[in-house]
Amino acid sequence: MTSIELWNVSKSLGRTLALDGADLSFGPGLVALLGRNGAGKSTLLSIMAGLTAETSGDLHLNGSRLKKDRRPLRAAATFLPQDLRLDPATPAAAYVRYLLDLRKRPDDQLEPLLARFGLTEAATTPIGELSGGARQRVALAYACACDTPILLLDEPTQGLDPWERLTLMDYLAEAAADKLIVYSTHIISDVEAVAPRLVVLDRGQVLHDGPAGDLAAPLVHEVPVEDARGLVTGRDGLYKVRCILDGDPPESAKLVEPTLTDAYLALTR
Amino acid sequence: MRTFDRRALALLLAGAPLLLAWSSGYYGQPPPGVTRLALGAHWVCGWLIPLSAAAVLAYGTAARPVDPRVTAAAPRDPRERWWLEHGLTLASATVFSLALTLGQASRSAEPPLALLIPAVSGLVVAFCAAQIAVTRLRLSPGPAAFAALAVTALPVLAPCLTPALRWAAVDPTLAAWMALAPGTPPYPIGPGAVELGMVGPGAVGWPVLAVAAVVAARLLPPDVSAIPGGAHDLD
Repeated sequence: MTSIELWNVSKSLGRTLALDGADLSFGPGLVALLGRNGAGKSTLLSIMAGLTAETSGDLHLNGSRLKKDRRPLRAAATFLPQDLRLDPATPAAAYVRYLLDLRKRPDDQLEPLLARFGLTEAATTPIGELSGGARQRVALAYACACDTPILLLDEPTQGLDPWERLTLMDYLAEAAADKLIVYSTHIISDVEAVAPRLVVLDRGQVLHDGPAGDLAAPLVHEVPVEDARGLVTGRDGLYKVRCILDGDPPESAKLVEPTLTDAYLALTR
Repeated sequence: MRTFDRRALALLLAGAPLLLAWSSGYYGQPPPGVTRLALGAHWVCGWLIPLSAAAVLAYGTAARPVDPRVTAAAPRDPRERWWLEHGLTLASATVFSLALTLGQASRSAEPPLALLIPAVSGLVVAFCAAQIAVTRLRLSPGPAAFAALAVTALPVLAPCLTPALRWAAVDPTLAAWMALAPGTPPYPIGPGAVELGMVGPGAVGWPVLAVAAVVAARLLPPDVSAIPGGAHDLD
């Protein structure tokens, strides 16, 4: 069973501390990574993929401490960056086959994956002629076809429509039975749907690591829009705003059930 | 699957007017007893071929349509893989350059070796400069082409234009001719300067230095993950 452990891992990018003393342990299963832009999600994924070296701290793969040579990690992991560069002139299936060959991975799972991601007809189309969503599915087909024990996906649902997101989440939930899958996202509903574990990063620090339901739920009030001056402006009383108030709520405010989005916003504000 | 961005070949257009002018004998002030065709042939083989190769290779291989993060995850280190991945391109550039060199020798009546040696030395430097710019420094296409061009210009161009460095020229004949050419400053020329051998220390030394730099760039750091760069991709 594949496992990765990070012990007090930090990464500096110039003067910026992109990752600050992260202590995380990953085994097979699905893990969602949430955080604002610049929180350190891609840095963490890149270190876990063996593509970037940490500035300090230790990395362990399957219980063994990794030295400077990260080849074992790169062999075990597939990292799908959010902006994977694809060759616009090459047909989708041929390009993915080339990438698999580059990584010395078998391509026996490619056809079923292309079918699963709705790319069978697009397989012979040059990537440059595909829509943004189709290109993202081509990239996903590559990452999934690699069939490595570790799959690291950086914002994989970007550009996908709700049905495509559902297909991907369905695949991830299924594949997570025997793989470690970590994916970063800004879409909270992706986390609520499938991920049993949520890691929240902010300014390089791990703010939360555990089930999404364990995020401390804040007090959320619904306030008629005319009583929420400074937050929004509205013309009538039909609209209400949800707010996490620092002071006392106005009389018109009504306490409501917090959602995961509320909890995440409260944690990272 | 192509691995070289063919748009880089457009850079050759920049050198085309020089190629035409030099190889047709329309330009240059050769020293007495030397034809413009011969001087032009040395400019083409000693300067134009290496500099064009450096710019085109660096641009074309830096802009290759494979994401560097995928290349880095391949079992073979990308610094080694560059040579295999672009073997066909390198071979094509070599064959094209050698054919052009032999053509220049035929037109100008210069001894083929006098043109082949600087062309090959310059090509080795150009290949190594492009490889380091792309795989070790991880430069994007424009900066990679500029860096490779600048590094290649150092051995092929600078000694011909700087009297104190003439001994280091990859083309000793050209360096000597340029020193004697009318209109150039009166450089102190030693006896027998024009009869300099075809192989100077520069023709051997620069390629050896370039290959040593490639080896050093492969070994430092030993693992590709420790190479800085790509920070703009991270958040």
